[in-house]
Amino acid sequence: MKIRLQNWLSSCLPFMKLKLVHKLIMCALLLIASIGVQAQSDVTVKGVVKDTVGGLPGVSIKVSGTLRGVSTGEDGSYTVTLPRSGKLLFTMVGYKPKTVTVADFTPNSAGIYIINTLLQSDENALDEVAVVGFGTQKKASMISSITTINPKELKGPTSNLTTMMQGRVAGMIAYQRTGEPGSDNAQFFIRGLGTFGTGKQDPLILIDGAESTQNDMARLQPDDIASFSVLKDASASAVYGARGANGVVLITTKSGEAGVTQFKIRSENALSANTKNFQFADNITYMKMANEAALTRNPQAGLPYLQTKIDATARGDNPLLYPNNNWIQQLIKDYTINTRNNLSVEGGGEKARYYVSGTYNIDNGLLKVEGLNNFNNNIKLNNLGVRSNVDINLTKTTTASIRIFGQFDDYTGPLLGYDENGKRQGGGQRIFNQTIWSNPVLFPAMYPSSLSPFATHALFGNAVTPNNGLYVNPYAEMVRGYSESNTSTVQTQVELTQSLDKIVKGLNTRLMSYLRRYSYFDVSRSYNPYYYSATEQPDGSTGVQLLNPGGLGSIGEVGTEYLNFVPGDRDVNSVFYAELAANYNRTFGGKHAVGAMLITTMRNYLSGTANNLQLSLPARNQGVSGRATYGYDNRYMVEFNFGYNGSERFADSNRFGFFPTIGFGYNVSNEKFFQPLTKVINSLKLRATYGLAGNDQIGNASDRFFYMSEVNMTAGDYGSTFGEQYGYTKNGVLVTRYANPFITWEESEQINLGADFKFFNALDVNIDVYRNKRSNILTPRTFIPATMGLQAAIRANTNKAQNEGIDFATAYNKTFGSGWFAQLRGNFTYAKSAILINDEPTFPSNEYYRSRVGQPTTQEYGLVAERLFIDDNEAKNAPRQFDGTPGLNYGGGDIKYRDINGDGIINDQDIVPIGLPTSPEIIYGFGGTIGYKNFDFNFFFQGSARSSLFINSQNIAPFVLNGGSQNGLLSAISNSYWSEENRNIYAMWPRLSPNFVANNNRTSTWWMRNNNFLRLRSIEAAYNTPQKLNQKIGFKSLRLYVSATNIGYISSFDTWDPEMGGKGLGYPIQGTYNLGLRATF
Amino acid sequence: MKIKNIKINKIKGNIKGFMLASCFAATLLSFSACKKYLDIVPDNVATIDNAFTMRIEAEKYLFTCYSFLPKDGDPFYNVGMLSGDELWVPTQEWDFVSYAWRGARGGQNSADPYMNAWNGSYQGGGPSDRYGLWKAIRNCNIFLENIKDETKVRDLRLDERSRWIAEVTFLKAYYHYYLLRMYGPIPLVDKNIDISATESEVRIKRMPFDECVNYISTLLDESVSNLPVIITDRTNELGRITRPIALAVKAKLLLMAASPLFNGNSDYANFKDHDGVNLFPTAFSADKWKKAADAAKTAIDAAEAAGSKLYEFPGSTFKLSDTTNLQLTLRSAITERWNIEHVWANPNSRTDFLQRTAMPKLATGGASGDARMQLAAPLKIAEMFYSSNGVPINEDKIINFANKYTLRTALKKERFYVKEGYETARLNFDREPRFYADLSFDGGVWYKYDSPSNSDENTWFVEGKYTQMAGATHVGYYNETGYYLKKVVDWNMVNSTNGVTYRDYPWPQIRLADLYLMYAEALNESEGPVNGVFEYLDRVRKRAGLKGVVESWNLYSNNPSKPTTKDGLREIVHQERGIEMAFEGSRYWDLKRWKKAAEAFNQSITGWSVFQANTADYYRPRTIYTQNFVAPRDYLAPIKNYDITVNPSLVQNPGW
Repeated sequence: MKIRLQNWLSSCLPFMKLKLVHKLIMCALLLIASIGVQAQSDVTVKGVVKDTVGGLPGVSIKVSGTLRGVSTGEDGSYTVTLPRSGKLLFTMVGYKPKTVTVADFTPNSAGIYIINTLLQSDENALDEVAVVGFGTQKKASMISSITTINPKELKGPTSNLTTMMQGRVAGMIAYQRTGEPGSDNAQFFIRGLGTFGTGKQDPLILIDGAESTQNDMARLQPDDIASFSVLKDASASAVYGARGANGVVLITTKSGEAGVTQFKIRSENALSANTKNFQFADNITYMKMANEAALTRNPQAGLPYLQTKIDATARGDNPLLYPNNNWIQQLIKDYTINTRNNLSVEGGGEKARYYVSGTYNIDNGLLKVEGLNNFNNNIKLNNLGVRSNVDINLTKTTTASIRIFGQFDDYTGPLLGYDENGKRQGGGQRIFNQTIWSNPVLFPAMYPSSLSPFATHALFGNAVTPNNGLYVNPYAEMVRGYSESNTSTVQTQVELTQSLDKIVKGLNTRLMSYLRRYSYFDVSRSYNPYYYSATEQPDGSTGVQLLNPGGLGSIGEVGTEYLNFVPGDRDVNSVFYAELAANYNRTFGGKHAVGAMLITTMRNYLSGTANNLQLSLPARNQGVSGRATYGYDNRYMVEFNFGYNGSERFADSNRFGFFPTIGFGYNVSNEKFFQPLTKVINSLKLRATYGLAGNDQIGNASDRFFYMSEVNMTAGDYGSTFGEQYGYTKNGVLVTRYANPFITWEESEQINLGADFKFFNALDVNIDVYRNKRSNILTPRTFIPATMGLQAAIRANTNKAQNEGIDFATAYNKTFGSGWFAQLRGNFTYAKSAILINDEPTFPSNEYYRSRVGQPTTQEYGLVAERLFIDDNEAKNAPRQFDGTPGLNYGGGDIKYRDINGDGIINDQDIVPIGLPTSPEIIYGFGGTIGYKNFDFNFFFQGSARSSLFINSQNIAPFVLNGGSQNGLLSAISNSYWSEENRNIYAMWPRLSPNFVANNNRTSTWWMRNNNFLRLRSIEAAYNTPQKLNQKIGFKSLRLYVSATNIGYISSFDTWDPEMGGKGLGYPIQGTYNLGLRATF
Repeated sequence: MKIKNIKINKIKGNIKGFMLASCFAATLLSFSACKKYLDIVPDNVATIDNAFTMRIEAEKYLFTCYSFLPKDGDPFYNVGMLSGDELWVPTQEWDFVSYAWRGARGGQNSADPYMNAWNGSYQGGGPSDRYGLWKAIRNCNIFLENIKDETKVRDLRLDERSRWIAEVTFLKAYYHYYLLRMYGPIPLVDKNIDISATESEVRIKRMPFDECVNYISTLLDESVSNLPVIITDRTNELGRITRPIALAVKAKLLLMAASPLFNGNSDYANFKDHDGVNLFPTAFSADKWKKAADAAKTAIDAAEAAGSKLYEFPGSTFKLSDTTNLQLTLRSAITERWNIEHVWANPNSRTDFLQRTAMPKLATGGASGDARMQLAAPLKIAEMFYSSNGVPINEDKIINFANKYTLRTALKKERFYVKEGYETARLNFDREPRFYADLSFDGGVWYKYDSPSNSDENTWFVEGKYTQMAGATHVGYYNETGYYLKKVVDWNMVNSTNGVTYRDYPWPQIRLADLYLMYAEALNESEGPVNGVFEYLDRVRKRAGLKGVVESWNLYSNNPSKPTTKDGLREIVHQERGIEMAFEGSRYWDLKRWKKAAEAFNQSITGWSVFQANTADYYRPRTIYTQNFVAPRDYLAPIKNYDITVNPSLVQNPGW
């Protein structure tokens, strides 16, 4: 240090001749210059930046007056070199900036300055901003109900962001129904389901202002997220006009920070396993009960399984002749390994800054693959994402942001299926379904190839069904082929911001536009398996017989040894969007804060895969929105928002709608009279908003133009044929939609009351209560009698629903002495819906319960099951159930329903609302972080309450042969069922049957279960390497962690994971056990 | 210099900012002018107007109106076939779920009625339930409104225009008639109600029965004059409506209106709508029978003038016995395409499925679904057919059927009816030719074109006992009574190793024999046993190889005076009609309009013990089901409760 000072002095010598004043100035200048050029004279400063919770990663540390800067590592540690006289400026979104003068500290023995500092997390910071619709707003003056989530909270061992939201966002109802890679998006609704029309119910998702799908959001990496806001009330979402009524999720991605290039890497390896597999009864029980099922319905019936077969199976005789399969074990692996990697680079200078990131995730399925084919029919989802955000200062007042991202999913897996709505669904779902929909004892998965030495194909096991078909062999279904699908999204976005401060102080304009292309396709390749059945030869050996060789006597689909190609679905679309906005923000006289925003937007969507003329036309939106705010002395705030926009879907006269809102805020804690209380209540703000928002995504996608009729001029079903040889055929004409120019969007009238507290500088509490009234819900008119002869429903905006509830969020932050810190948070969402007006006929007074008015929008309707009939005689003397014949269609051991309207017949008129809604009314979560020095431990519990689950009894009805599918036997059924010996009228399963019993398959309280659960959603234990070690290995920071998700749950329902609701036979939700590291260098 | 630069930059910045701001302001101002941005729909998107611009498009709409004609050639959609007691299907509803048959088993209900033609549900709307009849009527009205407007479809010739109008007027009448037959009094929709009509406008009422009949009859009269007498362009138009068809339907309408169910039925004396209007005629009117007779005669005359005759088999290249040739006459009267007896055949309802469900399995090979033999005649229907003497089996004084369930072995002379040497029930011997033409049974001969002997000797016959070829071994493709339905299966049906071929035929909606019997019935009711009655009855009997009514009863009946009284002759007419029209879906409607359904449909359905392999066991009559018909409720179909809730102006049928 001394030597360096001397050098510097000597470098000053040539100037000594000049005037002293000049000399001094020049030296000072040189001093400054030399700092910029060389660092020899610098001191090293190290330390840890913390907030009340613990180490803060990502804090930007700038050396005042220079471009030099670093940011803190995972544990909040940093190292920076600067002149001893320099100052460090610590900044971070959500915290008060802090300046530290190095000279105020003394170096340690090694000459290093240790500067640990605490940043004040202060949401009431006057300059703190939050992302709101089309802009940002100071949090202190924010009136709308907006939940902002720290992106850190969304980090978890999953490659699907949507699965991280359950219980973490106050005001969001979210649940995940399946765990299949590629299809595992959680469903989420803001403040519950506000509408019960057929249209869009989920929120508008905007990523950097670009309308995005749930899949886009799912693939977004939390590492790339700068902010995550959920706009909940009309005041927040009105600027989105006719698209905002379901709430809005606003996400912005990170921009580059000027400074030295910084690399961040995250790499994780996770073990993923089913949270719960369904449990089968053993196969001896299966066969015995199958026999019982046949006999109990028809004492003369032939036995499906001979006692000799049962005995031989029990003894474990030749498994080719006496197969004993547990398809779950044979098809499904115990676990699979997934990897996730994310790398980002950021940096730049005054003119331009960049943030570039890349993601590569691999998610594997749980299907067992043996080397039968050279193709992989397990699920493998490769997800590649690239994002480049560049900000350029074009002039001093103009900045340009160019954001480009590409998102690519490559999927291979078993043959894809379609769900009940005809949408593509993952092949894993199908395989899981088939593990239960397959007979376990009739054939093995495969015979050894030695049994048919000349066959050049695999010898799959099968048998002939009573109706001369083949059974489903789930193993063959799994390995017979594979599907590939590719999804690509590419988007380029340009945003220009022009400050007009020079013309009008506080005014700036912004132009943003993006172009987005999406494509999806899938192809499937499969062969038809050759099926064999085994027979015992006279010499006692086992022989096999080919069942489907083709030709006479061949059964089922004829086998092929070669792959067939099936062209799959394609989806191509393009979106162009532009918005032009002006923003004005200025404070006059220190007390009068005035803000205004005005924006016009236009959007054009074009699908390249529409299958009719009307759908092929572009979908467009256009609108003007605005916001005006006024705040007085940070105490009284008023805000006005509006959206005025339209959609091509509606008739000219109803095309544009106006959605205004007004809101008031009152910072009580800024009042003088409140001052005595501020020791306890540090801040208190009261908010109230009222206004309208709309939803134009109503009806089905195929109902684009309500104001136009749609006519099929070549409807084959409505044609006729004449002529001696039936030679003259003409197709007919079918009206598929009648023109209705009056149809318009749904309108949501929303009122929100909120209060934000902070107690003891540690405990934050936010409460919002709200009531939304959704009107103009599109529904078919029910007063149209059949005698009108209409061939398409007439619909109108008649229905109305209400949603009300409470969002509650709390957070507690505290740092204790001796290195301990704790952060606890919890939130609670309660959303209850009720139908206010339903277009329905006037039901007679004894059937008042058939009216949906007053019921929740997702209320399930069904029969009230009293119990099981004791015997046929009781059934004969009870009210007749549907048009069945007691003793024939139903009888003892079948479900006895209640005759609600007392007309002596059980029929559809006895259907009442049963249970709670299928979508939960309460979602809550709580968790926290506890840390000690370099260690921290996170945990998070999440719960769901007030919903019902309905078992689809057909899906699990044992022994029923449905096509080639013959259901297995769940142990839940074998443990509790009605039998002639044990007439348990409250058994879980009614009397067994080899056929579907329509009487028992109806939706009823019998199949209703409480769907409440509380699950340990995640835990994480992490170790942040100490600074010394980091320097040795060349990292700025390094965090090693183990984490796990979906570790366990408490629920009264135990047949499958309760979160899956009624879809329990699908691909189960995954529990993951993860090992990861995050490093900055 | 630096200062200058800054200034320039500043000015530049200002200019840029100003330009941006101006652009922005301009965009905002021009916004209202941009409303066209949302006008994306190009011209020429198809609307209903496109259907009536050119003849070629309008013809599609004409065919649309035709497409709603009930598919009576299909056992699922012909209400009469399985709703009553004439045919029975396997109890195990495997691959054969018929709601008509569920109705026959007492399942009819008002919550969700079966064979609901009103809404088009539960098979009442035809395939996929897409053809609810009010929809049909709306389409007819749309067509008529547009085609009657001569400024539309300018390239349509006037004569063709009036023919099309007549055809659709007929269809509109027919759809109303079909509903009237099923529900009794119905609302009449002469003009379509606009889509934007208010609640009160759409709530239309049921009209009194006579008014309905008058309305339909007027529509038919309107159509008659412009309909062609015969179809001349057989290649392209055969199956379209002709004048004899319209007259025949009118005869059916008036016969129904004259029948006891609708003519002075005291059960419905108090059936009124909400305004107190009687929906049923309270007093009996003999004049209605007269009108029915006249209408039937007019229809017969028109049909005969157009060339209709009772069908006779012209013979074939094979050398066949007279017995077999008579059999083929009787069978082909139904199954021969477009034969001269078919007054109205509907090419849009063909019969492949009907034949497949009727045909027993006679040969090995082929898939089990090729010959499903599900349609089965109960024993009482088999017993309904006359003895070989042409009188009821319980009246025959020559041939004794007292031991009808005992066993007998077929003699050589009986080999064209029953396999020689085969042991079967007494009931299956000494029966009239129509018995053997319409039905087959265990041991019964089933002559087909592909007879292995190329003749009617040593030809196909049915083996129906359990474990036999046509036995009840399959889970769902079996015959529940042991009487297989031969009448509807064309004799060109072929079984080969490549599978099975049925030669389909357009379903005969109305046959001349039907008109003859209708006339005989109406004439007897209005004038008693006059010559005209016997003349037309005997034409049908003669074709079936039987002697005339008077002669047969004189010679063979133990009740020879029966044909001499109106009441006695009525019984004879009814039975003759039951036999001649068997399995065509007529019996169910006939028994209802005669008010005899309560008697017939409250009996047991019986058949042989088809699950027995042993001959003696097999021929034990077995009760399959005991029907329950609630009178007067079940005479009229229920309107779905929901429709009554939706339209409170409707009244529900009595008892529902």
